[in-house]
Amino acid sequence: MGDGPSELIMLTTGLVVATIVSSLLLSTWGSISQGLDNQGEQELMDSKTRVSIVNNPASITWDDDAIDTEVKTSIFIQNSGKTTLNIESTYIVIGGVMMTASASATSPTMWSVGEVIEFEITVLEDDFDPPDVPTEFFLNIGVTSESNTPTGTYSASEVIRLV
Amino acid sequence: MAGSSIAGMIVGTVFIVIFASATVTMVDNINKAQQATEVNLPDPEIDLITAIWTSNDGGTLVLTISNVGSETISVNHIYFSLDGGTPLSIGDSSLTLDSTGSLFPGETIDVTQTGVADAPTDALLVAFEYSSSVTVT
Repeated sequence: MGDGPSELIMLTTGLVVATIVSSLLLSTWGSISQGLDNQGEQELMDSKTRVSIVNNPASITWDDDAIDTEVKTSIFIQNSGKTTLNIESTYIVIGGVMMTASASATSPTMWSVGEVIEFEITVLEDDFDPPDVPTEFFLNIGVTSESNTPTGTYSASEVIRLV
Repeated sequence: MAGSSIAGMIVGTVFIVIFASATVTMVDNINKAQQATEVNLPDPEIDLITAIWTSNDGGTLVLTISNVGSETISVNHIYFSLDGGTPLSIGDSSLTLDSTGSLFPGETIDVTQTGVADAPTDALLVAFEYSSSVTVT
């Protein structure tokens, strides 16, 4: 009976310390768990976002005679992933130069799985003027998913020959 | 003494339940993260067997195409191009093909295009990330 008060004090102290430590641990644990959850969803969406080029990369016609505002070539890109893609956010870089890429009037308005979009390429001749002989360039394509919870991204690089 | 022990056990049990619950949630999230590597993207394997051009009807090209993979694919998602020209879906209405709309595994079909005035040199078939090409004979 004589130990009663000191025992109660020790128990209370132990509970308070355990509660504080547990709170800190659970908070940290929750942050890690949330981070893994977000990362998993992002990686899943990125995995579903994918495209491939349909043109014959060995021979893509470049119209040297077209003026700056006219279409110089068309790049056909197929949605080879598992999610609908955002047409407007697509970018195309040829030879390190950002192209102005617009979906052709005949292309679908929704870029669902399997669909091919024809991107009409325009660029200022001062910015990009390939030689008159067939020449290889790096083609870089970047796309994002239509869904933004989260947004999936994908980029690809391929060597093409402009003729 | 007995009251303190019981109180300690109850509090300890509550902590164990809380941590167990947090662990289960974390394991679920780890499993979700692993799903990213298990996404099965479309992976058809469509081979262009032959491409034969004849001068009939202003130039006729016949492509023989075979699904050598294990996935069924819509003909609208298969494209071909001649000599690096504009790709055209084999499901395009300007072509004739002996298919009902899908190419099943093991199935082989002929696609006929008329009005190909000049004999092309090569033909390239593309479906998703798979491509196949042959010399036109």
